[in-house]
Amino acid sequence: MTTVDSQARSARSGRTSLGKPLSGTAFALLLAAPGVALFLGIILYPLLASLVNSLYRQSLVLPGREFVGLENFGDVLGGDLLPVLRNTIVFTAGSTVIPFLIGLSLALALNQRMRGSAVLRGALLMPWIIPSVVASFLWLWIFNANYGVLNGLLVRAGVLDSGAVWLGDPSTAMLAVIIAKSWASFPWIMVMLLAGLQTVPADLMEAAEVDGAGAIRRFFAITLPHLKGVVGIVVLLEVIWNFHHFDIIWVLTGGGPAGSTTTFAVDVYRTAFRGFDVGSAAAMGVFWMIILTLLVVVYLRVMERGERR
Amino acid sequence: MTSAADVGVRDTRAARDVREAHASPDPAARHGRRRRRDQRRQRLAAWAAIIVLGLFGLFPIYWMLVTALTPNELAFQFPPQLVPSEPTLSHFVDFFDDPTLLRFLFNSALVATLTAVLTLAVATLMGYSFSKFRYRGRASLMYLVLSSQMFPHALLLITLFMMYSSLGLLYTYAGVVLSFSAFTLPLCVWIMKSFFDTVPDSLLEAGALDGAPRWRILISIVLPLAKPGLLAAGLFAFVRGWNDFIFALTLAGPEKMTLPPGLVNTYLGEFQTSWPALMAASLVVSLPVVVVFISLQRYLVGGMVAGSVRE
Amino acid sequence: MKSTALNPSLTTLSRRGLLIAGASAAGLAACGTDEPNDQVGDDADDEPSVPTTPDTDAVTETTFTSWSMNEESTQQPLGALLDGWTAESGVDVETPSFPYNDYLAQVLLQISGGQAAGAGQTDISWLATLAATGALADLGGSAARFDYTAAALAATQVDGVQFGLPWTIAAIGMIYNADLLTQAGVGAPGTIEEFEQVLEALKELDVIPYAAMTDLAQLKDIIPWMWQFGSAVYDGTGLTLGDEGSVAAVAWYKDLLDRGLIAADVDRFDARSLFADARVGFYEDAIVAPNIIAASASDPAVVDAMTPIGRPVRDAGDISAALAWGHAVVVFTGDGQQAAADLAEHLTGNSQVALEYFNTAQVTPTTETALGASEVAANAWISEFSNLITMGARSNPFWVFPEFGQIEDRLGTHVQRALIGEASAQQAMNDAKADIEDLMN
Repeated sequence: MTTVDSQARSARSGRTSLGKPLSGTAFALLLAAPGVALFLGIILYPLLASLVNSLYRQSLVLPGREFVGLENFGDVLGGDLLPVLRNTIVFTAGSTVIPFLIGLSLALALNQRMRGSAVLRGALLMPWIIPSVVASFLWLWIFNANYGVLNGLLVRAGVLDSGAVWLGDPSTAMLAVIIAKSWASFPWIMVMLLAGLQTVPADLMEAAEVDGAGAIRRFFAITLPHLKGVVGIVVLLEVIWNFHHFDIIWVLTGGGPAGSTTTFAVDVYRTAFRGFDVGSAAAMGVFWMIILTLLVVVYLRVMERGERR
Repeated sequence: MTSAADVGVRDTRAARDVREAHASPDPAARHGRRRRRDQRRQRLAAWAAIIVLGLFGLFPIYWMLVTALTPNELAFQFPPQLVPSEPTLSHFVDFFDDPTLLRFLFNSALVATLTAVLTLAVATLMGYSFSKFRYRGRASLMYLVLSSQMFPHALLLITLFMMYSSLGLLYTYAGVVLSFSAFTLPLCVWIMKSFFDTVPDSLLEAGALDGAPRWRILISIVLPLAKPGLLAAGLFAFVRGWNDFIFALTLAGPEKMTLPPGLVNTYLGEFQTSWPALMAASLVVSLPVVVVFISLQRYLVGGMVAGSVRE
Repeated sequence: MKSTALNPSLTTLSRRGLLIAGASAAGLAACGTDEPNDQVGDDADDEPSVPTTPDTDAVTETTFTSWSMNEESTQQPLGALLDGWTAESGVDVETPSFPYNDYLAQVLLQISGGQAAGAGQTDISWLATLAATGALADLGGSAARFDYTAAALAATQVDGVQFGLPWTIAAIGMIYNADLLTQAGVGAPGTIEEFEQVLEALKELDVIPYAAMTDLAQLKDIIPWMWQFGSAVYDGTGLTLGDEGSVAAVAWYKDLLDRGLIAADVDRFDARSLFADARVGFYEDAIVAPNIIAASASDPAVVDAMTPIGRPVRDAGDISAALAWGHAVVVFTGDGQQAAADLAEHLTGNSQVALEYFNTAQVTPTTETALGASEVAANAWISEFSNLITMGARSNPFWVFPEFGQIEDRLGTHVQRALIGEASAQQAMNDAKADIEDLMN
């Protein structure tokens, strides 16, 4: 029996599928309690406090604060909200799509039973396991215009005459940052997709092969539908995490050059920890929350509609 | 017998199939040949993908290794040497000689493990609640869990610091572990819930009919089936505890500092970045986690089955 | 969010520095002391005679927050100094540390959370911000007991109040590789015109002629050039960005970039590494440069070839401008304040201790006695550097603002826009003025 059926049953009978009235709910709430407590304490309370901060002019340096109402929001709207939003969307989209494609390709490739696939799967985890602050410095080291290995390889191969300034040129900085982030993200996506691929029934695949369906046809007709759930959650979480991501951008470009890689995360950090303006940063955080929540709600609705079909 | 050319058919795959069909009347052999050809093509594509993408993924790691083996004076040559001409193990030796770094390693291991344990405990209970029960407020709670991801963490940090300060949680392992767990909870709850979704309700009902109390059902019947899910969620929580920088830097304090801020503290100074030493240290601290993952892989891969299985 | 202002100029340092350099050059070792380092309690003159508050006796532990305790070059030497103090006073020292780049934010959080106690190291650029929190103790009394140079004291005051005890005070100045200049067949430049000619000559050698800071985080290094071209940048009442001097400096930078005389995306770490590899003609660094370069130089000859030079001037006769640089020790108000102050005095004012630190970590001291000691006075590099560079040192005018980091970020962003050609120098400076004024009110 699927949970959908039992859901329908409980809805009708007002009971859980386990048959005990109401104390089932109590039990369920009890189970959820520790998690809720953790949230209320660690996340919700600071979140609400931050929201309140947005209504004040408050500095991390000076004690005390004054109530300014919606002034911080006005400042944010009047500032460079649009370029920052654009950068955030570009970074998020790029850093989700690219590692997804890489992760998917590798998952499909490594799913075949081949010698060494287990070791490869493990080795390819390294980019994700390395602390992101270290990965940031690694890529800073690689992209360096004057002694980085990327320029070293390109110059030696004759592709370039002299090193390109990857991080100092607005036309390449965003790409560089996306590549570095994609490198750090693809392993976990690969692992999740690999697991999802395990659920594709082998006999279904064989039957399709026998029926003459090509590899590509098999992928879209059988594999992909089975992966829908995993893909859904992977993309959702990766989008959210990319929206948040800070370390790599900050270390590689600091948000430059000329603000071309300044995303919401960079802007908020700079306002809070360089400008020490807690109130403005909190106002930015509110905008952030609204935009991200909208995105997620839309996304979940689309997913739900897809499932119901 | 007419050939494809006679009929004016272009030499497409279909045409080739037709030719084969005519060439050999045995359908089994026909299928066998096509399957082998397809499999070969697939293998080729797979290897191509692995080589190209694997290079992308692993070359930077290789570069970390090369840098870690390079003496300081040669680290800034241009173009850099792909194979170090004068490799040295001094950076690795220095790492193990430094008691501060080893303490960071210990702190990281402790914090990450505790994060994994706490998150698993809480996520299992919560996932089970979301999966096997229906009650008013369930959907709201699920959205609440997701909502924690909607706000910039850097801002939460400021308030969290003040809060911990007044509660006496500042610079304690407990404080750090609690914050990591809270942030990893959404993903882990989802993993456990999805996994529990695949455990047939009939098993639970059978247990209930046998008179087992709810706790028993969870622990004795459902949990043993969930080992792979536990491993998956545990790994994610562990990696979060292992990797985080800004929360660890701010909340753990100088004594209990974990590796990411510890490494930055040690190698990224006011005047200079010791690239080779930093790379050596990073490799040393990443390797154990990779080894553990490789060995636990077979459990892990099964563990994330949930969510995509339709019964 | 304006706060109190630091003394905007260090011109008094020039006279004192010149005096000391001159005195030592003339062989007058008037203040030289050659006391052995392991004599405890020998310098009755240097140590405070009587504790001024009674709680010293009760304190058994104090805290010294720093970043130097985690840096390779200073970890052992500083640890030795602290151990020495513990042996003398019987007070243990806890040494929490944060990475330099996150230091200020972390300490501010600590202060907000009521965690800050004891003594702490600080960069002089952060002093005004820390003072604005109200958590720092007035160390005027401590300062009066020692013979700090007047310039050092001025650099560590905020609005006339001595909030920090100077630990090392100098400047960031231009340094060149004498060997490369000889190779290029040119001599050291005096004016900006001559400087450009020298750079062109160096370009032929396939090195980066001038490793100017072009990375966002260090574009604030353009401020001394703005000074050199005649702009005040911020004159205590308002921003002067957009005036002739600032625009000229930015346009000049862009011109150098276009001509290949400076390179893009260079930060100070890059400049040092490249200089150590003999791939840079001119770069800018603090007085401690030789040690840093020595640590990563592939060929030790580079260190010998290092030569300080005053910033090229616009018209002959102008003073070379330089950005002040230094570290100080502050004390947080609260429990154990006196013990912390004692520690601060020990580290900075005790000339014997300061000399020990100079010998082991090459940190230039700030007391007249220590500066006059033979090992310091005879150090050619320090004398030359003080002469040519520290003479014209001025504090970054934005340090008086707590949000100076963000101000510098914005200035850097607009300079970057001009460098990449997104805006003209004039436009960029006008935008910078508007952007920063936005922050300041």
